[in-house]
Amino acid sequence: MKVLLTEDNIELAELTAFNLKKHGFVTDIAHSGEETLCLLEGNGEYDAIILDLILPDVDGVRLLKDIKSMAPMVPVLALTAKDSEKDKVSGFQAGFDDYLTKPFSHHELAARLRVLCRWHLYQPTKKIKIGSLHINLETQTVARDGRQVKLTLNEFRVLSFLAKNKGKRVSIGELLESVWDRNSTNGSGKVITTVSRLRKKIGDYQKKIIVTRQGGYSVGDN
Amino acid sequence: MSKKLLFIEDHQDFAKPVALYLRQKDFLVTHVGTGKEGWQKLLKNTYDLVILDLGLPGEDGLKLCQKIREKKSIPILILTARDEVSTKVSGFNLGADDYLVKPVSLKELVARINRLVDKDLKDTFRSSVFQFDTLKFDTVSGQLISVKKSIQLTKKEKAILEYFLLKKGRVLTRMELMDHIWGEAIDACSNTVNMAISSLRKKLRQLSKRRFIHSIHGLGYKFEWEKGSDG
Repeated sequence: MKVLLTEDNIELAELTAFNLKKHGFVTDIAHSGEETLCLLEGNGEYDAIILDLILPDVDGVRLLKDIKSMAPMVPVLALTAKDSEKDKVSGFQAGFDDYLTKPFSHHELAARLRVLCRWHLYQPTKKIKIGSLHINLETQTVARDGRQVKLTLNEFRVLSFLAKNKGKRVSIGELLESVWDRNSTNGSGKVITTVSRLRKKIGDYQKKIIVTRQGGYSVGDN
Repeated sequence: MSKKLLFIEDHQDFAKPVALYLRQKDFLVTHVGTGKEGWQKLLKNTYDLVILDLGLPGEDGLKLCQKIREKKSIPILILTARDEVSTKVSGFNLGADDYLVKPVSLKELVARINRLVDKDLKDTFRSSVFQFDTLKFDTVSGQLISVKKSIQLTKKEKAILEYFLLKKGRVLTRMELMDHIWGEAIDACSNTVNMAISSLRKKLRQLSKRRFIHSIHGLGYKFEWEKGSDG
């Protein structure tokens, strides 16, 4: 399991990551709010996030809001020296999934993280609907009119990337970067063929995937 | 709608003011003084959350926690004077969702209860011991257990299986496994993941004839143990 740890105290962050490793966690460390958001944007998937409330560049509660808007499914634990009743209550009200005060035991931290990961697993799955098409991001399956559509992983990724950006124009370059990688040979060719196969498979008779004038694609809003 | 709480606590002089406070906060509180009564109430009625004391007379609160978790997916909050880390960790491992040490701040208690009942965890099974098919997997000890025998998994095998179970039914790419189990310190071209998967498969095969880990060509792996498990 992979967690993101935001902690401005470099030594404490490294010690915590070292200890979490013993409990089977892989830890990415961020030392500021800005780094946290960068890592979230870049690496995307974390199983949980640990957040110090006192950071050099941003207030922890403010940062939580940004995190939750980017990754609403990922549980966030506050790990902080702020130990007053008032801080804890407002922490939970702000949307923290758990709250642990410093000094802490890494055994307890690991146990609480495991509990959060178990919850995360059972939260309602993320689904996006486009017309008669149902995309389940959690199980990576697609159904049209209730029937499963078999897609390859890249086709699925293209579709979900377009779906997540519903109504917006997505360039071929963006698709290439998110699904393959930027330096892939004959990149735009790959994108174009994948999109056309995808269209056939989902039976895009309703013209959900639109080719925009500027080059690129867009998925309609309903 | 008011949420229903079952409060298992033998000390009347502690339980009364806490129950009173919770009622003022609009919870419907059923208070019982023994684990036995608590268990019977749980079997008969539905509650949104259990508050469990560990120091019940003549009973092991942790055992009761485990017993509740084996049968019910109700959120469990342990509220106890026992503050040793090892007891806390056992509590979580046996299925508790939260653990609060006395003396308690009532406002914090309410905040913690609210976040548990709001999450709607009621219809989910949560424990550190996963059951799939005829097997059990203890995510803490790394033991894979069948009726006949048990096998100890290595650290990486344990981490992979736990991750598979957490991501139930989803296709996991080799990259994702590398990223979440090994971190970044591994060479992307190596076959470390394949090797770990194949040794995990071997161990699973020793305990069950069923195939659990399916290779999906060009994509990665998928863990399945029942029809429709990905629904």
